[in-house]
Amino acid sequence: MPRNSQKEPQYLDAEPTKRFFVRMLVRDIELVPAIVDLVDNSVDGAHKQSKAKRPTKGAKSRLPLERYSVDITLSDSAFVITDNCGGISLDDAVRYAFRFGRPEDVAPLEGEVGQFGVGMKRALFKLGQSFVVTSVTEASEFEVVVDVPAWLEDRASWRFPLKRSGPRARSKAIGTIIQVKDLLPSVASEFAQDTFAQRLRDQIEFRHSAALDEGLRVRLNGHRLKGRAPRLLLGDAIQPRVIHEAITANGDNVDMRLYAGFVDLKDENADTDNPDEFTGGNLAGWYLVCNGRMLLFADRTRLTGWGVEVADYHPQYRRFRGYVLLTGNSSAMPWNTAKTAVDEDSPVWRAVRPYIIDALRDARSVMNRIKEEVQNNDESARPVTATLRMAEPTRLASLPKRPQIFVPPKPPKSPPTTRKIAYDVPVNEFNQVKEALEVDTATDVGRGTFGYFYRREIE
Amino acid sequence: MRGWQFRPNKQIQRLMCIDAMRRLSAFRPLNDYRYIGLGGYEFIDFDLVYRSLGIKRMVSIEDTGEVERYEFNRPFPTITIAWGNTNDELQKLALDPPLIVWLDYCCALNKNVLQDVRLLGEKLEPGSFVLVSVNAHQPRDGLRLEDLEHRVDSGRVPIDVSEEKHLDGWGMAAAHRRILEAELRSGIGSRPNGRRFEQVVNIHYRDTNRMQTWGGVIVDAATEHRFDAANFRNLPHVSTNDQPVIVNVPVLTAREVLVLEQRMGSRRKAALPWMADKDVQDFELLHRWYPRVPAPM
Repeated sequence: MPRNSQKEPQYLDAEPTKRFFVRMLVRDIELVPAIVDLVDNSVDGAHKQSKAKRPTKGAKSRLPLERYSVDITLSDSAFVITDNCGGISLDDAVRYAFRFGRPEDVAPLEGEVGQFGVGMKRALFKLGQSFVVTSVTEASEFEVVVDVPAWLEDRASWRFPLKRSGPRARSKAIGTIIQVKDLLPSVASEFAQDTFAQRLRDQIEFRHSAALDEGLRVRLNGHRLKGRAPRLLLGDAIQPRVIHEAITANGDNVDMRLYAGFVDLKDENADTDNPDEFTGGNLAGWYLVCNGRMLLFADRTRLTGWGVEVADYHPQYRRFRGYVLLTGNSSAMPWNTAKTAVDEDSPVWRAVRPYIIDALRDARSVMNRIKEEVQNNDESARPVTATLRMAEPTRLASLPKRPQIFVPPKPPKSPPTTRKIAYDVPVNEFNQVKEALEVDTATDVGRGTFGYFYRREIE
Repeated sequence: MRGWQFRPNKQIQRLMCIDAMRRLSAFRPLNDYRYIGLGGYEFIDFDLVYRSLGIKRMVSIEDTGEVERYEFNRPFPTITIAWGNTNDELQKLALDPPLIVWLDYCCALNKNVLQDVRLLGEKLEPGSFVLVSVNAHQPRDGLRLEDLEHRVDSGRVPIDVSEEKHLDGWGMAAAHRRILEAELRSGIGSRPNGRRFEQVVNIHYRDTNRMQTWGGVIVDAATEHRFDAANFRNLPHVSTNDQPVIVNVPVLTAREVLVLEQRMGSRRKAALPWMADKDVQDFELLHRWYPRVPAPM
């Protein structure tokens, strides 16, 4: 590097260090979404493969994704995800799959999640200190092995060393294996907790319910996951709020589908009793899904209006579910770079949030009615509760459009016809009166003495 | 005259508000407006709005079991009653037509009130008028700040309201006004479409407790000139800032009223020497709102 030492310096060095870059990269992502990023890649691969392979003769009755599987294993020493979903071609790996950020000449696809081109790398760095990615496609295969501390030390190069690459050996099964070892201590301790796997399961089951229903086999530590497609109660006298709207903000068009309604409490109770079925966490709240990526999961914070536009969340609202599905250009989505949280300054979010708030107010007023009914009326006089009981849990896609939640109209409050009396009396006197009245309960003592006075002094 | 008999300050406050509402004719004919209020079984404000402004389409929100009594007292058939609390019922009403909304609560400012105010901020269209009345009574010294924080959430309390003394006297009402305005503006800002709020009413009055009424008009660029034409500022009882109009009328006999009116502005002291200067001033400020006093025969 010849440099004229006579000259004054012309530039200041602003090149980032690798260490800084990696720290920033992993800082804003949580562990669950980081892993979900890897699952997303597998599911995308399965869809692509099944589209390319269809139609196969005589296989009509088969589910489109049933030949594809994803296995995730978490332990305190390693993370492994294995799939047979087509693999990453050597060419893609060389050109962009391992680049930080999507190169300008690789166009993003409408409706896809990956906008920033960081998902897989970020997950790998987030998890541990060394990783191996092996991928086999029909035509090619490669293996890359990275020792992260050593890679960080090497300041000159931003390349990952290919251990092996070339045309596919015939014996090799198609697919990708990602192994991360030397887990970071915080990751290992999270993996050691049951609740971590449960959270991961919930997110994958919800997020990929369609793929799971189409036969994709996803196993987490050996347990097969089931599609958990959201459903809301629909009946003759109860209909959720369902809105389809094209949102335009700053020149971006995003398709919004909003569903707000209620679930059956009986099912909820059944679920909580079965630890295998249910995490025990509360599922009430708002769900925001952008291009298939779940940004909010059962949100009950100020972000979606709780505690600002309506009261703070309270268990009386536990029947509530709200789903907002956004599809469109990835760059318009209201997410932060990690795609893990809502960017509140996003123009699309500012346009969508009012719909969320209006729906929440609507639902709140119905839930307040339910609470009043249950508190004040006996079972024969609870029209909304009865309506919900008659309704059917229905998939979002099958719900008819409705600008408002529909429930039976509200009768005006009726004036109270009874009054409750409560007071304390000395125990010995109480017992004497009880004996004299020949009754067993305090309620009957009260009624008896009141009746005695009424008959003698009022009637 | 029922508004007068027991609650003169409240009635004067009502008349002042009605007077300000009359200026809305700069936006559109008054009978194009609809009115939403909390009539109570007396429907006093409904009666005034109906008779003074000619507004017929009205909704009263009532959370009561006394359905029969309220229905019985409903003065005009064009008033419909929405049975339920304001949080539940207000959001069901159409809030986009030209509206005058007067939420005359009897409670102190609290989170439920703020939820309603926020909703109005989100939804009211330019040219609509919003009024909120709340109890501004301050609890015992030592409990004031805590009480306010509890009612509205400490996050909403302005940063310079940090000591009991800031909530003395009408201090609670002053804090309420700022919190109400912030909430309304926040509601307006959450649905960005060029609207803004112009305060017109900031009245403090003595009923059985300290009470306050606050509100104004929603305006945007297209209605700006109409707002200017309405010229609210030249009404003597209008306040566009934190300086309230205080309604606290002296108790006077008919004879005293007549003399005071006749001699307004000159030789006050000589007129009725037993009256405090302050009372004479209050009278002069508010005399227009007193009921007409017949001349002694």
